[in-house]
Amino acid sequence: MALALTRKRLRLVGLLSPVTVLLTVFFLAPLSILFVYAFLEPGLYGAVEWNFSHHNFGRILGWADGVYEEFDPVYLGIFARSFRLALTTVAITLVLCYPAALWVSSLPDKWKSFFLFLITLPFFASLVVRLFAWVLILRPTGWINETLMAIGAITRPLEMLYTEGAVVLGMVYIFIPFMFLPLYASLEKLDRGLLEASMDLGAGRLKTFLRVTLPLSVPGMVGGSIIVFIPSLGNFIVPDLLGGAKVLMIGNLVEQQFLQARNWPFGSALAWMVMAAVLVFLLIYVSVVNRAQTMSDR
Amino acid sequence: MISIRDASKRFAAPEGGVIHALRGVSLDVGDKEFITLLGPSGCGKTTLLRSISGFEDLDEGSIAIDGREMAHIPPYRRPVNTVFQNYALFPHLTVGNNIGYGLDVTGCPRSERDRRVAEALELVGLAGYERRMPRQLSGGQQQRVALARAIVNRPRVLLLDEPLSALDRNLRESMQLELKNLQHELGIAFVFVTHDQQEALTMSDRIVVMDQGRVQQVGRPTEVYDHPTSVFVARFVGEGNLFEGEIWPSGDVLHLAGSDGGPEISVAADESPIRSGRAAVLIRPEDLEIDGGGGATDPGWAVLDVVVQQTLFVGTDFQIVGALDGGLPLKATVRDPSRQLAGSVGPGSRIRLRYRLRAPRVLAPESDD
Repeated sequence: MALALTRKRLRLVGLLSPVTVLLTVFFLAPLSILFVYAFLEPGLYGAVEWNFSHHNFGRILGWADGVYEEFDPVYLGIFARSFRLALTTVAITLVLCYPAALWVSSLPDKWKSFFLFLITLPFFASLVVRLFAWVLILRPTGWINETLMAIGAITRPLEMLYTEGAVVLGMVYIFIPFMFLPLYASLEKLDRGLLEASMDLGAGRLKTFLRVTLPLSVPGMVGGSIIVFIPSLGNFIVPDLLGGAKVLMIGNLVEQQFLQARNWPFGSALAWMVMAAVLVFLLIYVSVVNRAQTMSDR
Repeated sequence: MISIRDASKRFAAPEGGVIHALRGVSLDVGDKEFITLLGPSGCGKTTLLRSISGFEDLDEGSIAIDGREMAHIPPYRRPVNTVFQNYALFPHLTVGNNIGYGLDVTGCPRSERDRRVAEALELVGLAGYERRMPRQLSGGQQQRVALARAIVNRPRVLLLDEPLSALDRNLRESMQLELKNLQHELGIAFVFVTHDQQEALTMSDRIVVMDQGRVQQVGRPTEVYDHPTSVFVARFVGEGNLFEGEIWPSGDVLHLAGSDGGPEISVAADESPIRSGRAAVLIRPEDLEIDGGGGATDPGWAVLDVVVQQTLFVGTDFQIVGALDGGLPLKATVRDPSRQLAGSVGPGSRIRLRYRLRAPRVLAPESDD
């Protein structure tokens, strides 16, 4: 008995230690370093000065010391924009993917795998290349503008590249599979018998969808929203390529602090702010969804 | 109530080809009738049920309920409700909301809805369970919720698709009784699908025996059991000893000579549909008894000599499993209140069984397909 227990425990240790070590060394440790750095001052040539300071956060939130660190509302503005764009991305991918996932989940098995393959196809090409393709499409001399001018719909090129719209478009484009797959998973395992039961009890197709399919796919919607929201919020490649200097997001800000301004403490503070914001936001989101679910099932 | 005419339905088989699920089925279900569709899996009974509920469209033929033609009427506009095999309870809704579902989607006023839900729960013995979730209930309780959810809408016909197959035996038997009572109380027609002949015999007003998409026989349970019209029905409903061979008449008695070298079997001629040629003879195990007389055979009786292989006590009765001359297997169900039979009739012993000449049934032999 005791022996069996130790055995079991040993096996558990064996199975879990690789991932534990990996995450501790390459995730938890850097994160802790960032946390410490966030409370230090930047060194002259890029390193850190070991003086405790909370003004990095003050610079973002409004209590800077006014000497080295100055409060600038632009950071809060960028936070707000990042949230706005990430939420817009979530909303658009959800609306685009739901009908598609619903349709694919109703297909025969061999067609299901075919469409799942199609959905993952974009991963076969480099992200940067795919985003550059959008630059070629959207820029003033891109083929949308050229076509519209050729048919005389417009006389001057439309400003499409380097706008918030372009950033959202790019994020929607790259995150569609992340929304589609969890939605598909929850719709696919939906028991067809429940839909028949609903119709048998007098509900037409629309009522069946609203009362059975939709509520039972909430876990998929929540899952998809979360895994689209988090990387959207912190994204820096898309705003970098499609937003240019005009549409900065938090990710760009962090990147700039580390790579260009060489202000590691401020970059760390920004990174931690993002994490805290995401965490708080998700807690609120999940609790609201849970409450809505229990409410609807009085 | 329900009138089915020449219903046919074909499916494309997954491995190519066509499956004939229904081949020209005609059937009438009475107003307050408990009718059972009985048959092995793949016989078309579930397809027939789904055609009534509207989940399958017939290729040919028609179904009318209350004189109203049902073709092109979707499931949600038909005056029927179904109890599904796996219950299909909505996992995200409470028991109360599951049962109230049909009333909610058809816009039943709140107060009436609540009253009817409570009534339905009362009727299935789950009063006060409104706020539970389906996953918190046992299989039998889920079964009752599924039942309540269907009958709360007051359908003209209740369709039941093997509703008891997932329950353990004791629960199944008590649910059989309850279903029967419920049908009586509600005064509506039940169409019940099962592959369990015992269940069909116990519960039904009439049984429809189906095989390969065709109706083999329709009749009261006693009719189907005592007077099967085909070897298939004889085999499927109840246990039986079937012997095939050539028969010829001799006075009031028909004789069947087994093609497998078995003994001659005698049957009274007056009820037989066949007097000569190939035929099958059915002797139910309970028609056999141990012949204590020893010598001469009484008139009106016939005897069979059997080598006993096993004597099993099956509760109430003993079942003797043995072999006739020529190795043909034979089962007999014998009552012995003294319970001494297993001791006296052991494996290897030779005994003589007898049966009334009028007890066996003569049937047309199975066609060669």
